[in-house]
Amino acid sequence: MTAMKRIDSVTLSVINNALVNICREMGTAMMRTSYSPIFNEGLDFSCVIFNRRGDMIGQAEFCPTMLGSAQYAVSWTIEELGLDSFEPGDVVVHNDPYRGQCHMPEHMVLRPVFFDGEIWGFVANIAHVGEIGGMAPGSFAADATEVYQEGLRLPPVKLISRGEYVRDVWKIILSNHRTPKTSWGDLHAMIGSLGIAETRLTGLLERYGGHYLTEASDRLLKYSERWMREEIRAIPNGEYRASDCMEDDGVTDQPVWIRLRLVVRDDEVIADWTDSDPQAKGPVNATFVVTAAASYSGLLHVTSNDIPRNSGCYRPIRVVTKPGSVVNVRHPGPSVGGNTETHPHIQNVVVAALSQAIPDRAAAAEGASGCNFLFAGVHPGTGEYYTNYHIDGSGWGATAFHDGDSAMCPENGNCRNTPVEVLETKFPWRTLEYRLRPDSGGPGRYRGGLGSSRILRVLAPEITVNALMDRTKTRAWGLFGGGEGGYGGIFVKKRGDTQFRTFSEAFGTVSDSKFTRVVLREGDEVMIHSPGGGGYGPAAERSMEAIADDLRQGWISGKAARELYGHGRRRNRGTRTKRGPRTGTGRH
Amino acid sequence: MGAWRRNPAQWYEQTMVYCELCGRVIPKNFWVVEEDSRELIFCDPDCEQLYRDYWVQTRRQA
Repeated sequence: MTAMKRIDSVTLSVINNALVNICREMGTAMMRTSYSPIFNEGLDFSCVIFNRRGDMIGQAEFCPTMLGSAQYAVSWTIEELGLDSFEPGDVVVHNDPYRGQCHMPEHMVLRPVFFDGEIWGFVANIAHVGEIGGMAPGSFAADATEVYQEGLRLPPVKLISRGEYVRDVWKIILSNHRTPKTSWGDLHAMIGSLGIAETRLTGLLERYGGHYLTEASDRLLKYSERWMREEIRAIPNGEYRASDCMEDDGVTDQPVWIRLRLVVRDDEVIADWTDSDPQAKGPVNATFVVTAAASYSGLLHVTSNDIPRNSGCYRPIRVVTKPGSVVNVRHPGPSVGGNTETHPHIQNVVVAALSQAIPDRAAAAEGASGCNFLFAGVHPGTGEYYTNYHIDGSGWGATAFHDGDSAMCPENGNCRNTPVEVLETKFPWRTLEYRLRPDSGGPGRYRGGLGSSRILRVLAPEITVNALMDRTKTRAWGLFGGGEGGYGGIFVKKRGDTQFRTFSEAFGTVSDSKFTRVVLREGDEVMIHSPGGGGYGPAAERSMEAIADDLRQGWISGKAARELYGHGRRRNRGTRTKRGPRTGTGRH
Repeated sequence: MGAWRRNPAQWYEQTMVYCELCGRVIPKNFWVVEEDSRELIFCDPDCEQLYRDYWVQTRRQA
């Protein structure tokens, strides 16, 4: 038996960066080889590496919602199937929200990596497959009342066994998706990236040896855990409460409340969500793993960016929920919107609670809606049936030291908007307008990020549309005297009409912001307003230079400058005036 | 004193077992303890510990 080489901190750092880079390379491969815009433009995927025990040891700058939930999806798969069931060349797929996944469209593929004849670990990715069947094209059924309406549910099953296609499984999957060719391409982009990761990880194992790399990754896990515990220790002990609501659930026109007691106990945080409302009829319910991932994400937003991201940094964060609630849906409740809409609300509530303890590290609320807009039809140019999952960015909340970013996808997704050129090339829409909306950022010493406005005209005989949005009746809150962000909304103008109306007014949908299977005709127009972010600190303390720049850029109107910021009435007081927190945060 | 137990559900059944503390659906193996002649199911001993340290002390009492 040979003695193991000493693991110094430089080598540990090199190994950590190597693991991160493998994940980044997986992501680049997926972006370049996938078929659908939600992959190659939206980057709605995450790539991860696990050890054989099911601990995440590597990840990169992908979607926090997937990164936090990946550890549950992977560890569930290992426990359900058993380590002995994996063979070299296998690929397992899994999207079941009742088996540790976030929501149905998020598919995880996983491949075991063998070294010296045994499993050393796993490489995996989770990605949003844009169409998986169910009651609504695009599989975002905003009025679903059970999981079976949301698409094809897959427990962990092998897509590839010892390098060979398991054709029966592929046939079942592809015959349940409305756009099987796209699913085929996207699933192969996911599987291809696993091959790259396996090659790179094997190279790392050959360089360092299996035992050495296991020891190094264990140390990285402990290092991250220690660091996170130190960060938490710097937060004053106490119980901090905050809450927010989903404005409705798509099926009933009632708000659904999310309530948090965040307990900081020395080096540990308990996110207790048990006071939240019972699960909703519609699909705004979060699965347990969504709530856990959002809780982690909230903490990661207020702690050091340099903590290596792995399972270790999640360990000091404990999550408590009640099954059958909006933060932990019970079978067979629907949950597709829980991952895109409820997740950012949950994360914002965590930050709101923490703002009472560490005001300078917290941000005001973000728009917190993916502005999910899905559409389908037959393209008049190709004669082919298509579906597409489109997202729009909203305003982020301002912080103690800068304005919120504008038109950004929610922090939980970390995705990108699809460029107008790509949208128009692939689908029969004409973009009439795409701009930032003045005055949609919450006023404040630091202003909330602006929402956007997009107007699309139908160029085909018909297009079927679905939407799942929030913050059209509620607004992103400001912090410490900062104002609320602007409302979001989705509106329609039928051909011949002179003005936009809500979909409820035009088509009788229960919700203005959540509906499915509305058929639009050629010449109809859709206008999507994404919500703005909240401001931070009193608007009266915003510097005159910043107000003048906002006016010059068109971010605020002259009326807002006068009425909200007192422009023209006060002299320049320079930059911010330091002031502590005044009130609680979130909605009470 | 607790013990590990395996979910007896067959592969074709959808029997979901939830952790008493965190509320997570448990894949296969769970930690069982007896309290007041009632079986409590947890993900693992860590969840049982937090149940006693936090839930029983601060929430259930209230």
